Amino acid sequence: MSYPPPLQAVVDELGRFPGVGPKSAQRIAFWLMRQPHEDVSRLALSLEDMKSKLSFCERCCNIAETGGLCPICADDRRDQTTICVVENPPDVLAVERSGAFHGTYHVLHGVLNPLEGITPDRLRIQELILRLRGPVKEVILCFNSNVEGDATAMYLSRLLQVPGLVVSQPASGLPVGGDLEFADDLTLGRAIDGRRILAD
Amino acid sequence: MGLHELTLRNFRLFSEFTFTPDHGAITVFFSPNGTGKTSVLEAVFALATGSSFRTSAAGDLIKTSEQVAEIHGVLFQQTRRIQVDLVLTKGVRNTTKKMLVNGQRPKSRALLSEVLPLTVFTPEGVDIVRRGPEPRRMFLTNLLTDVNPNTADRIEKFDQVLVQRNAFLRSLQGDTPRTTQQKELDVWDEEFCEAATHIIEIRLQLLEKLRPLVTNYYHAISESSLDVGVLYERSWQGQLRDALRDALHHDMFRGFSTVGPQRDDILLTLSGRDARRQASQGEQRSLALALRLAGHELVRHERGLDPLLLLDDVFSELDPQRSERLLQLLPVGQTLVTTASPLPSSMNPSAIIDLSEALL
Ligand SMILES: [Zn+2]
Repeated sequence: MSYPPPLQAVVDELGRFPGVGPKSAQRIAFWLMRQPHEDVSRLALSLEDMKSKLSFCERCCNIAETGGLCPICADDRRDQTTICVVENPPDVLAVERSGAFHGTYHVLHGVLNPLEGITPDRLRIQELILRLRGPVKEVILCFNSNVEGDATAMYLSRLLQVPGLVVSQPASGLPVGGDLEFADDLTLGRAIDGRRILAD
Repeated sequence: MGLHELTLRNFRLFSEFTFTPDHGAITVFFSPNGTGKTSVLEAVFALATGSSFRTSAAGDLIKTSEQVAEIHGVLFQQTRRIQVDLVLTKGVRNTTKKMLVNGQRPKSRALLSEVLPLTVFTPEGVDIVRRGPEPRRMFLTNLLTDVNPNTADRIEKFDQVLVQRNAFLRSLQGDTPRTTQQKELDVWDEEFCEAATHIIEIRLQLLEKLRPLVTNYYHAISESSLDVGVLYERSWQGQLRDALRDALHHDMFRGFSTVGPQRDDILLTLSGRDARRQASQGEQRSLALALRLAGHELVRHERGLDPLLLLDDVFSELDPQRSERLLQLLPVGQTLVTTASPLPSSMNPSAIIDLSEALL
């Protein structure tokens, strides 16, 4: 037996979400079915609103208003010669909270992970390399200290061997296997201050 | 340190079963029809390691026609009370395991080794001498974390790198890596070599300490003075980095890494003879016992505590002399015993639990 097509369409769409299997997709679809119409309309509108208003920053690939720069890239008080490369948008907030960094960011939207099929071409690496044509003096590779984060840092440090460019990594002190997002501000700040150079 | 209470729910043949073993004493499990005894020890083992010593399929641990099995343990570490819960749930494709220590997901295996180091003797224990390398590697890995729980991080790191490198090899689908892929492979190879170096280093250090103990125990159990060899055998020659490169073509087709610590072995010898192929059954049994006893003693020596001892139907496989000698060599500590044959005369259990009612 199959569901009425409009319901099946929702199940299929939800089933494409990361970490959502067919069972969960069905459960969420039935739940949505039971909600008041205006609640579901609000959800649909908010999704539409997000996609039409927001996109990725043309420079750093962080979330930004469509067709423009994110607030950090647009801020000319930020040091444009230093780029802190992170895995995901929440990591930008974590480094910002530490208060130890005054340059700009680059968001890769992932790290190398063969098991999940994440290869270098799925990451925003080309965009990072294009930025090196500008006045960049240092790139800080700030990933979670786990196997995938370490591999990505090693991969980039080799790729970024450009004359005059310093590539560095935060000093050890980040919790092993811990998420950057949850690292405490002081520890993260100190790790960035005491970063060590991988290549220059 | 000790197991204070264990509860099983829908585990193997048990619907619901709770027992409270005595601290620092011997508890014997007995069931007339011979079923279910081992399950109790298996549950303790699962609680300590997250896996079974009998089968690799976690689904087999769940009672037939049930969906969820639970094991709850209460442990004491000095005055600290530790609750460990393991819940196994049958899924569509596979069984999921959820482990909680004091209500929280443990960050690594280290925590379990810290609170519940184990020494297990089973009739299959002789496999460590007789069979392929897997039981010997598993013995080493479990012993490493029991002796020093801090090593669990390095072991886990190596396992994760291995999984990623293997996934990368499979992604090549048998084609020679293109330039960009080669750069990625170089990174995984380097991570692999670094993690492997750490693993081999701690394994060699462990064997260095284990070797004299194995020799002493072997001599005591077998009442002989044969020369006992415990040698680490690498699965490659020369530099690991070069070996990985040489094996690449082969590994690409197989989809996994064929050289590295995950394929290494321990060569056990008696007077220079390979104990796996050229020793008598009695010699093999004595050597298997000596290895476990040596591991037990090493944990005691390094950590100043007694690992929980699980003796599963061990005496039926040993002649009376070896049984008595094993008992004399075992240090006193908390011990759980199952037996189908009469217990050796010198064993003094503090409790004998009849499982026939629990299994109705
Ligand atoms: Zn930006």
